[in-house]
Amino acid sequence: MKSAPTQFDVKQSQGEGRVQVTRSFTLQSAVQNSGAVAYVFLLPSLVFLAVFTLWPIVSVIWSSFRTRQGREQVFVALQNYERLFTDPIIQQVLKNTLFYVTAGVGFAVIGGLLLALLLNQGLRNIGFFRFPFLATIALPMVSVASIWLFLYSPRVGLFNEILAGLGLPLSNWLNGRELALPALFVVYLWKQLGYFALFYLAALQALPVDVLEAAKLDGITLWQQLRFIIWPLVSPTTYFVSTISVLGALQQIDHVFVLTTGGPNNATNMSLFYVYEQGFKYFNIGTASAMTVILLAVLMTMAILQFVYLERRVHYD
Amino acid sequence: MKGNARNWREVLPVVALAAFGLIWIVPMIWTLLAAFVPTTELLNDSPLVWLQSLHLGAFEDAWQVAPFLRYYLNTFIFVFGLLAIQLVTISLAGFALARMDFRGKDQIFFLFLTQLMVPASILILPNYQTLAKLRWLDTYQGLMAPYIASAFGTFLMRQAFKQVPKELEEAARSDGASWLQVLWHVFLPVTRAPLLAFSIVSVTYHWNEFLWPLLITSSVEIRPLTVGLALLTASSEIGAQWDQLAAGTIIVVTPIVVLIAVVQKQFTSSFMGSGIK
Repeated sequence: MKSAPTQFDVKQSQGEGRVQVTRSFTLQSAVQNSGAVAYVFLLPSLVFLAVFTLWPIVSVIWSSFRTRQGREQVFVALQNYERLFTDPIIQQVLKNTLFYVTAGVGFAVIGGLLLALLLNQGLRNIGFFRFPFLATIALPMVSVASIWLFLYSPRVGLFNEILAGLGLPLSNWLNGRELALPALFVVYLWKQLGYFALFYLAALQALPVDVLEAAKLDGITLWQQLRFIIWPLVSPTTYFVSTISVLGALQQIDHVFVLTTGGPNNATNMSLFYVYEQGFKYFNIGTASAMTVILLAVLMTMAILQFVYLERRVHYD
Repeated sequence: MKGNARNWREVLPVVALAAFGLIWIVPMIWTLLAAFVPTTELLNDSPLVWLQSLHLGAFEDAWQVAPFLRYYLNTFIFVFGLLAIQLVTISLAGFALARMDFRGKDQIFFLFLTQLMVPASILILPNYQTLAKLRWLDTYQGLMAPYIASAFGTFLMRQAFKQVPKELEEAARSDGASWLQVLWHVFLPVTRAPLLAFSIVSVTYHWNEFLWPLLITSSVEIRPLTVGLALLTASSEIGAQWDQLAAGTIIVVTPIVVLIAVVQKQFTSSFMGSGIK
């Protein structure tokens, strides 16, 4: 709006004898002055935004097309991507990632909604019931992982104690190829389910009371109420929870570090952990960059879809 | 029959919630027990014996094995130092975007939006390279750098500032107050709630942060609690010092648990507002 601020405007507001001028044309000069001041206000954020969010995006795309040869970086077109997709373990990594993403969405939506319904039944002292689910949201993933490492421990862990008590054969949990990934996923779910439930809880509390009351009078079953009234009404929340659970699942790494470091035999190696391993353990910067670019593409697509969806809702609701 | 059905309908949800709660509570209790009861007794004796053998030995050991006091200090400097800087950057940027007109506003808005789409954890590789070039590895400014500009905080403040009546601003401006004075004396006092909401999210998020500090810190003087705990965990696994590990875990999480117990309500709403953390 209005003309852009010029050098002259800045000088004018700074010049001593001009204070009077500024005062008498308050509104107009406010608009003019704000231009230069706005850039000053934005500068600290913009500098760090540029160096630590925008530049890294450009630089990682750039380095995904290059590789080190001797002392120089040379352009290698798509070779890094070729190497990435011919890495013998990449299929395992993608499979594990896909498991986390799909199971993550499923449990976030169904488990989150179920937990929210249970927390929303108007019990007294609901704060007391809510606390454990809130607590895990706030706990560091590293501590959560330490807790579960202890639970899964073959010799002194709670789970094997229970199995032994029931006279069942003991399990290796995190050291077995089949159970390691699901065991890891349980830890992720234990930490995050309360977070997803929070959004459903807010949605449930915003439901129109009269609709629910009318439904009750009509004598429909609990299932019908859930399926035909609640589920459609909370669908925006379902969309939102799905999106953030995909974004969250793609970034899971802390508990992988503590519990399995990607093992046994890459059974729990996934998206971000793979980037870490390639970049910081094997120093395959090209491959790590290529994987980062793929993750970036997925995340940005998801985010854009989310914005488009929100935009639509704002316009047509 | 009908009475039974109604009972069933009322009792089942409570039972289900209790079952859910149990799954969430048991690991926490097991950790507490592991820290306060010697491991051998925890495994071989009955709960009655446990109560008699409660002790703090594991905490003393954990405290000695890892410099937790130093880690606490490091986490404090990182988390609250960063928060102080963020409060300045998000207030200034949010104010400019909410109340000022300037060329390129839409473009700048979009630049902030990019940060919401791309979580910092995805950019560890290029950001590590930048930090190495700046010689900021193993420094506090290195720990903080990727988070100093916060799109989430900026948008939160922009939204809050937009709701402040125009008259307040104009009155202050016509009294000759500078923009900075207007922001400080008129806008910030009435936007304490969003500032607090942002603070809760920022403190929790960075208190818990692991990957970035793991990559860029290498000395005891900078390393935060989470990385210290992970190191202890790695060594415990080999030596199976489970009681020390449990004690260490409790040392790390206590402040956060206390924080949410105190501000449970605000915590909930703040985290909902954060959407994508």
